[in-house]
Amino acid sequence: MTSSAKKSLRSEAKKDLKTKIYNDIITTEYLLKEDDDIMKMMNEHKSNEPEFKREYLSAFKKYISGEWEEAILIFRKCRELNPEDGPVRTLIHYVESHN
Amino acid sequence: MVWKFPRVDIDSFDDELTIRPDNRFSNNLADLALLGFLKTVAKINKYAHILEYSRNEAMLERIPNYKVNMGFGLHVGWGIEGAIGSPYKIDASYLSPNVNISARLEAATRQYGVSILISGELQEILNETFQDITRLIDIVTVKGSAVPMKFYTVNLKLD
Repeated sequence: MTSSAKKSLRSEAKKDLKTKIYNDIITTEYLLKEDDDIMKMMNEHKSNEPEFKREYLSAFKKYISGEWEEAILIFRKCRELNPEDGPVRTLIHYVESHN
Repeated sequence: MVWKFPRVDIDSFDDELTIRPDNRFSNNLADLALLGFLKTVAKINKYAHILEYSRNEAMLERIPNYKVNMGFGLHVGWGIEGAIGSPYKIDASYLSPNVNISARLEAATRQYGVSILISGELQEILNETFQDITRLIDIVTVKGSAVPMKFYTVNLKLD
């Protein structure tokens, strides 16, 4: 197949998908859930585990309301749960450098 | 990358040209913009010809543990679309404070150690399923804006 034939095939498929989404035949939720690569990347992230989410949420609330001393204690707990979490590392660094 | 909202979905009563948050089509369009970048991040982590760079000896010698790593900033708002350049080289481009905010979000992905940063304005018009996968990581006042902006990300495990 020539590249231009492939291209027009792709654009046909794109148009078709757009129509299906527009008419609620396919939902964006379906497109997300059927993508194994994305689902795997989300499921394997330690920060998506319930315990981390719970701790993080309570730390973040305290961080936003200005209770930084309490916030940092919980953020450190989050860091123990997932040492690779970028946002937690950044927030800990930010709070520590402003105290 | 630019996604254009249908004109009928744009609320132009205020100066800011906001998207009506209750519009299904616009919600779907916002979802698709995010989905597109989730797919991009997934592919960067999967395709053999991209992973090959992290095994390139010349590269590893200069930058230890080198790997291809891209960050994306997503925002919503008005922009001026037009051809920029000279008769020799013309580019379609978009200019606006909102475009600049996207660029700042992209730059900030490095600071937060995430692949994707989404502004609060965009997060607000996502469908619930997509809102549920976002995570609020900061609220900051960016240069050039008076109102604090929410920063959201999506947790994605990179290999």
